Amino acid sequence: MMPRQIAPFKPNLDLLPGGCLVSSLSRQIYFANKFFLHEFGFDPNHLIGRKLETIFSPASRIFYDSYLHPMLLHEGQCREANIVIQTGQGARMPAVANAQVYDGTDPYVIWCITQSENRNKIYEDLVTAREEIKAYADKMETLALTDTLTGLPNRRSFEANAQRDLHSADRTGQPISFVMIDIDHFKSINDSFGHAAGDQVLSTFGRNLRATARKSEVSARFGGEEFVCCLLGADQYGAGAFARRVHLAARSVAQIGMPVTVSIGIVTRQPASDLDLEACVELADAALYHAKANGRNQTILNTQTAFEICP
Amino acid sequence: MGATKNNVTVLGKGPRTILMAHGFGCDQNMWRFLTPAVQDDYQVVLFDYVGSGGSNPSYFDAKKYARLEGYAGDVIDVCTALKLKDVYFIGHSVSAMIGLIASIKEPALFAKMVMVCPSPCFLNFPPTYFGGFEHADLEELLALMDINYIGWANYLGPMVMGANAPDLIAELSDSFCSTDPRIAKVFARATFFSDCRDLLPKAQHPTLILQSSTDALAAVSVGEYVHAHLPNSRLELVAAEGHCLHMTHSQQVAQLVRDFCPSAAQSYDAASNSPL
Repeated sequence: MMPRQIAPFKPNLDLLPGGCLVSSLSRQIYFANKFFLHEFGFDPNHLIGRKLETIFSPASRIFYDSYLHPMLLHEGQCREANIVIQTGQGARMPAVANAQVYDGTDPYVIWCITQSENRNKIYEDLVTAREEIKAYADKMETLALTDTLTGLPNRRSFEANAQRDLHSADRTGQPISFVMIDIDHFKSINDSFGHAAGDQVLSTFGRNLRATARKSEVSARFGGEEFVCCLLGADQYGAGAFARRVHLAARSVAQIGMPVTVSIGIVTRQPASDLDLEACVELADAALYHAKANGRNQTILNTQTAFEICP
Repeated sequence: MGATKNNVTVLGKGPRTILMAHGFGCDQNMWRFLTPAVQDDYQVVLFDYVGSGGSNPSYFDAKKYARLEGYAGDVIDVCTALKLKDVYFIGHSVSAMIGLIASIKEPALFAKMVMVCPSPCFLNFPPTYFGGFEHADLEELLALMDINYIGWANYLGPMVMGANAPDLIAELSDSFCSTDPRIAKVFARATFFSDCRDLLPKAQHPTLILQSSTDALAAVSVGEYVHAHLPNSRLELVAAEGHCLHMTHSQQVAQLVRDFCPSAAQSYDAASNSPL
């Protein structure tokens, strides 16, 4: 039943150049002005006394129950809600709704609803632009963190991920090993077979290295022909076993008609050690330098007191 | 910033704890009509899922929260942080299923479950299941979520920025039903495109289902489906309009909760072993 306070204003509400509805807080439609009926194609005989759901599309019914109704109950109003009206002819028409609860013995709600087809087109353009920018930003982020030749994470990405793993190692009391890898005689490969063949070797080795490492292990191209891996939870034996697999992965690079070999340096950081990421990488790099100086195609472990050959 | 992850609120006191989980759309304020009726006899714990209400949006991870398991993680995290066990869990709408996921994963945290207007799946799969909505309806809902910025303070900035800018996300206003499309849309997709029907038979806890007699989101037939597939469950039909029984019929809901969830520790053991 139309609230007593509203009834005298009914003729004035019919003059408004916008849709106006009056409903109960329990969703029953008491009144719809002429503009609303005309704009959204409703016959008053099929609208008055019906539930608000009558005018909403199924999606807007969800939106009404999830947002609008709780807001009306809690805050007594809602502003600028974008909804979709299901017109009297069954068509969908975008609209903007404001609603205000008027308290009393029998609370009622006054709704102002205006169709927003043009406004929606602008919204859609903005949403499309937003999604395009987001996709572009995601692509840029991936490019900024990926080495294009090998598809592996680059040095910047490695440093961020290894830092995370270092914190995780401290938090969980695990060892963590750093493995530096350098392709032997890479300059000779470039000189003898050309830079395209050199790139092929890097690319194939990168792919093999990725296949060798577990998904959770960080492996990256550190620069030039140098690669680096960070193995959370691996002690020196685990890292040594990983290095043996890397030697095999290198030998299966077949681009230049002879096996590729690598030199590898390892350092294992024990939990609660003072070594930071930079120090770990330097220690692994020093071990790698020893592997090179000792004849290449081998793995050297830096125990921080000595350099030992890993079997 | 500075908000805690799940904006936990602890009210009342009592030997038993009721954990209330809000549904899609709003936040823990949804419970304000119900809490006064129970907080004298129970400890009541409220929280906001990450991305809702007063939670700390810097914890929002679109990948994690694309699945209901991500939200179940929030429930478990709240229990763990407060060292809660054997709680009575009340979940509204999608939170009924989120609670179910959490209770299957960590059964010791829960004693009994109350589902307010639950739906295990909002999609229709004729002829065996009718969740109430077609795929196109739910896609339209996602489009609505895209353009609704209710209570959102920094309107055009994030819309144009698009990127994950934590400082902008942090400007979610205090409004009850704030919607940042980048967050609300993820929750909407997880809520309305999930299918939890397979989980119902795996429920391990006695469950009370509170079903509204007229609910556009979860029809009576959906409540009956949940009851039929959920072992050790009881269905209560509440004569009501709408999907928010805890707001519109809080006294009746409070009484049903009290009857189902004994407030004294000693009475629980006996009650939990009795048939529903």
